[in-house]
Amino acid sequence: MLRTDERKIMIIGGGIAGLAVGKSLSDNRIPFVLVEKTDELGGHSKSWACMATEGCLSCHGCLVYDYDDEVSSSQIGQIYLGHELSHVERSSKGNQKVRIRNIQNGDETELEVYSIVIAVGFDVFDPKEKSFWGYGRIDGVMTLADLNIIMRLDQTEKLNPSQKDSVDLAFFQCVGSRDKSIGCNYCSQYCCGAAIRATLKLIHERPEFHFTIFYIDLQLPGKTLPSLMDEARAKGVSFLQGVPGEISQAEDGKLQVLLEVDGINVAKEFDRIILSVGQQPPSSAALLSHILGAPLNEFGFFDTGTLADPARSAVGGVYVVGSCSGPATIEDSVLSAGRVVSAIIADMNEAR
Amino acid sequence: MESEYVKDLSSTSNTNTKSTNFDDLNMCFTCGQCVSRCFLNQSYPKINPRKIIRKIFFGEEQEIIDSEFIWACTMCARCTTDCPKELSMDTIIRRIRGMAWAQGKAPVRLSEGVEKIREFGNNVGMDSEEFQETAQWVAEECEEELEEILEDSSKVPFDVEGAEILYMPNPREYTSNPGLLETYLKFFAHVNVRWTMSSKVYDITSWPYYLGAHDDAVALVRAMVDETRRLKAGILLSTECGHGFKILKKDAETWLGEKIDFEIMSIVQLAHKLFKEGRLKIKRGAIKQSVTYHDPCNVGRKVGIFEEPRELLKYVCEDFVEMWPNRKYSICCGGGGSVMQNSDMGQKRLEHSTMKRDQILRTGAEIVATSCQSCLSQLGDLQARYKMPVEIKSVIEILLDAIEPDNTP
Amino acid sequence: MLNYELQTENIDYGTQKLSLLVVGKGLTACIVTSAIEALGLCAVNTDDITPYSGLFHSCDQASLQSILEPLSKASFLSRTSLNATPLEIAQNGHGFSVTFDNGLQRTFSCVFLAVDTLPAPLPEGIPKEAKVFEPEIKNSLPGQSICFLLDYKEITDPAIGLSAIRTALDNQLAGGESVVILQHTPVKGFFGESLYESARIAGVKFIRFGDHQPKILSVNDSKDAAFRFRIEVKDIIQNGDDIIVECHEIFPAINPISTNVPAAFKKLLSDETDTNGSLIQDSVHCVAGKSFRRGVYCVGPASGCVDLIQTLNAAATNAVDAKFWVEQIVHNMREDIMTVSDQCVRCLTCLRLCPHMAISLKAETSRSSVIVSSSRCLECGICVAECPMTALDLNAFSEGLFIKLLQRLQDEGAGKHVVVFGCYRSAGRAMSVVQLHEEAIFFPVSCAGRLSESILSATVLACARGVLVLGCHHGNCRSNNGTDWAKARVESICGRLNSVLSNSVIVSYQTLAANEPARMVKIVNEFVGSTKQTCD
Repeated sequence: MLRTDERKIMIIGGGIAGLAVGKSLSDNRIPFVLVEKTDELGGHSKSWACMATEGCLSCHGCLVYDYDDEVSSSQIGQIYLGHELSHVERSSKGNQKVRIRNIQNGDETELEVYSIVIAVGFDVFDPKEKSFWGYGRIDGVMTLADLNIIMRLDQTEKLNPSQKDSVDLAFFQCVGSRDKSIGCNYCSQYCCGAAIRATLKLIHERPEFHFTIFYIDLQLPGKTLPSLMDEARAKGVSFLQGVPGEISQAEDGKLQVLLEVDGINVAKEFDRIILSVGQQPPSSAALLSHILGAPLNEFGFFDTGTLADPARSAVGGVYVVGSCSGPATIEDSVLSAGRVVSAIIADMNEAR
Repeated sequence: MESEYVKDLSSTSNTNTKSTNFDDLNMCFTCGQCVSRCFLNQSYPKINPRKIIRKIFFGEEQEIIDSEFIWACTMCARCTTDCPKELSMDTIIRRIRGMAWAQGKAPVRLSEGVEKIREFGNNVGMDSEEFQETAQWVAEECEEELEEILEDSSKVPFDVEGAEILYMPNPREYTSNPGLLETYLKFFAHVNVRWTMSSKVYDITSWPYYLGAHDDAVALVRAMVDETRRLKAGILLSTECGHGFKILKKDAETWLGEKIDFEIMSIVQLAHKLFKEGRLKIKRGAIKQSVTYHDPCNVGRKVGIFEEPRELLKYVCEDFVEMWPNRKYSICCGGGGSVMQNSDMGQKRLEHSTMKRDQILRTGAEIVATSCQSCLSQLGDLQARYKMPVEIKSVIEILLDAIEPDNTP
Repeated sequence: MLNYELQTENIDYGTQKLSLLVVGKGLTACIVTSAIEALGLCAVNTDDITPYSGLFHSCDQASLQSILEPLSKASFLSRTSLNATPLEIAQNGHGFSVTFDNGLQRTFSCVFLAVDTLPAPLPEGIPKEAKVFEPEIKNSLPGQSICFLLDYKEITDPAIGLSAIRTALDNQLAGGESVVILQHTPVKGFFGESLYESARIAGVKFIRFGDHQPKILSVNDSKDAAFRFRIEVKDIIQNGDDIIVECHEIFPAINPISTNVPAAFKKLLSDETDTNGSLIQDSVHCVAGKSFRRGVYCVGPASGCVDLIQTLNAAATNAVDAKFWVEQIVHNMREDIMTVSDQCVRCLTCLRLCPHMAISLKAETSRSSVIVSSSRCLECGICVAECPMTALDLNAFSEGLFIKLLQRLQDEGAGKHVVVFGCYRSAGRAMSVVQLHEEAIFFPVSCAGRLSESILSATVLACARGVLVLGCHHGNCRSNNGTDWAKARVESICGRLNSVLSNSVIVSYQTLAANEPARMVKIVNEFVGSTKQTCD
């Protein structure tokens, strides 16, 4: 008959990675407690817009709805929304005593869990930190996250308020990524794909939009992205190497950037510039690291030791999943969830 | 998840493989940010900071050495502000200029200046006696005013041992622009500090620095440091001079390979300090016109002095307006890095600086304050050339206009 | 392809430990086997495994060793394999019956395709003296001047690119000279940027070309007689004359183009594979190489992935899913998922169309019967909608509610309402946060694939002003092509309506995702508006 393990796993974070772990644990009859600090499951993925044009562009955003349904309806899962981890009493064998705090009223709940999965995700880089780009100061400069809100609400007409026949938009890649000067000397993985998908989606909906994507190095892993880039090129998207370091407002209100095209310096004007903002370690990382004893790496993400075993943290019984151990796409997060559940099952089998 | 292997590698490579001058340019990963921040971008459409690095990378440095661009560049380093790989374009350009200098391709007037420095210790070729006479003459020109502020202040102190401050002027003050020295003399009288000038070392500028003539530049710093020690001054005070102050503050210890055991301060910093201590008595809102502040690249972006001049100006000016961009993002006036001094460049510097002109005009300010003498001359020339409805003033000059009458003891 | 149920033996899935078949003999098979056994499941290998890493790309030698070492000591390596190639893989209850080339026939609960890549041939335009880059050349570097060519004619996979840069760096450190010619430097993971930086610091030269492909020539007139190649390439940043690179060796880093996929798999995954026989993966449900055939998994190169780390993740993810499939799903079987009535004439349309291998034929001498495996069925209803005899019935689609809908349409008068059919995964979820136009009636279905032509025409005949079908975007359809079926049926109905009813009723198809509630409202409003116009 169906047997449910009596040992319980705690998942901290209800984004795509935490939900994927919850779904997989539930499938395999391992009970779980999911603690999410906001009032909703889904995390960043849920704020993402659908990128489908004629067909799906494989952004994987929809998966979060499936996982949410499965986790929310799981008979062996408990979900605490608006809660955060406040205390852990570690023991070398068996269950660990943990306390979670209701963020709203401060009430604490004590739970016993067998092991803990950190799935706290990432924070979005705030481009105000590098004010050359004019984010928050110049109208028309927005982030990829802002663009997604507009697309989700199906308000793309807002990007062309004066209903012009032709609108020039640009994506600036690597904003808050690959940048030592702000301590983010790493690629954020998701932005090249996200920018290309967004251009295809927007051109599909608004043929009057013309796009330029400024990049340093396009990162196009897998089979889908290279073909999407070819499609974007065919639809007239210009890809220019080199990301302008400054945006200024021209007299006519347009956004002006100086750049080099085919070896000649030129000034170009755009109606909108979208900053493809990178992933940063989550703000809760330092505190969680302190509570759990799981160390952070030089960038502030959770350290997972070697590439050979990215699922386990340096502390026994504590696992790391998704983008809190380094920038990740939705697909990467889902794959890392499988890796973590596999490690949990293996460790539980061994302990028996 | 970075492997130890790579970590080890990067740490050793940094030190071991620096066989040529330009190895650090390998760090450039052609992100392109610098291209769009160069104010010469449109004046020299075929060249930009990134391309310079790339050409050198491919061994085509001669083309760069022979280019006019390296002398049009003001070494303002705005292009490499927040460079993701932390490169600094001013040092790169300086190294290229050094190569041009070594090949005898440096601009004539600058080369001559360095010759004068080797002989006289200053770029105008003025000997000690003439310098002292000139300085004293400037003081006598405003003797009455000085004496009114402070008794005996019309006598310029030279080589006073143990003075609080050793003041290091810019040669403009005893040649083309004595009005500035007058301003500073009045300032010293108002705040009544124990200060002195040296009769031996009296040039804060460094033309060899402009030329990438490193050994000559080091010798100048050495002379100033040794003179400060000889006179047992607690503070080596820089006049309102961008690059001179920047070298003392940022490069001196590295170049000399020793710790500096006295304080290095700019006259604006000193004014701010005395203001905070209540020793500089200025009147709030004394200046009625609207005032903006131009951050000199060396004082601002490179040394990080942004707030002191602003605090002072905001106090004495009723209407202080910022230009955008400002502080570390400030656009160069177009006169730095020897472009002012280089006669080969002619008036091009005024055509290259329309960005600064427009930026100033957009503020609608009536007075532009700044704290670097190169900036002052360049902005003055810009004003004249484009008939801009503004006055250009030094920060200290504005402070003097706002002195409380009861400051006199 | 037909999946005949070849065996009728009654297997007790609750107690018997079923084995999982792993097809392949290289590192991928080794990784998959290890992932399966780590979960306490039992793997059976088609071939003896050698964890040879030659065709696998990893940027980090140290990590590669820490991955390979435990694998090379795994106990399953010394176990006897079947030493056979699968010829035929057929669905068998919850498992698969596999026939091998040596005549063996066995039942497995899952099958894993874990074959390695074949080296790609040199692309056209590169002299035949050049060698395609393989990670193994690390061990035989001549310490000379070597050029690594990435992104030639097509973007090189980042895993291969990183591996090439790693090798370029090793060569440089070993006293050689390395030049990397590329369009985009791969900087995957924390490792990527620091590898790139280390390589630049060590003096590896990176040349960045643009739209003009570099020209590679085989030479024998060089000053240095040993230089065998000359490359003429334009650097887009330097933007001057061609840069000439002379080198002893050139290694184009080319994406592998073919896999050793056995014919039985190509047949099994017929409509899910590309020309190389690897899984197409144009669906978000194929993350990690899970196919739509329940219990069939593709890992590594067979899913188009040559990245070692990602392959490890995929193997673990699929193994966990397989464990669920083997141990849990059989307990969740429901008797009432679908019914097959006496109308069935065994035309086997359903069996051919089912994307999930949920339908099989129980072959009997006198009267064979169609059997639905509830563990595999995803209730998409494609089969029900296409059954020419209407012999199938999907219980998730409520006939009762549909009849009530028709009744309501008729009661309220002709042309009063439009009907919006929508898949519960997309339109259904979006509906939970929006209010539709008052003239629209929403009717959720388990998958748009269930919407047969008869359902659509019945709605039209019940005097709906219009019928709008909202399927999922292809790629997000949980049954792979249910949404495409819906589209085809709408087009077919439109064609017929146009000739008969002269445009008075509109039937339309659109796709939607759960996170597009605003768009759903707009689509429905536009549809309501357009049907009004036609009526007027």
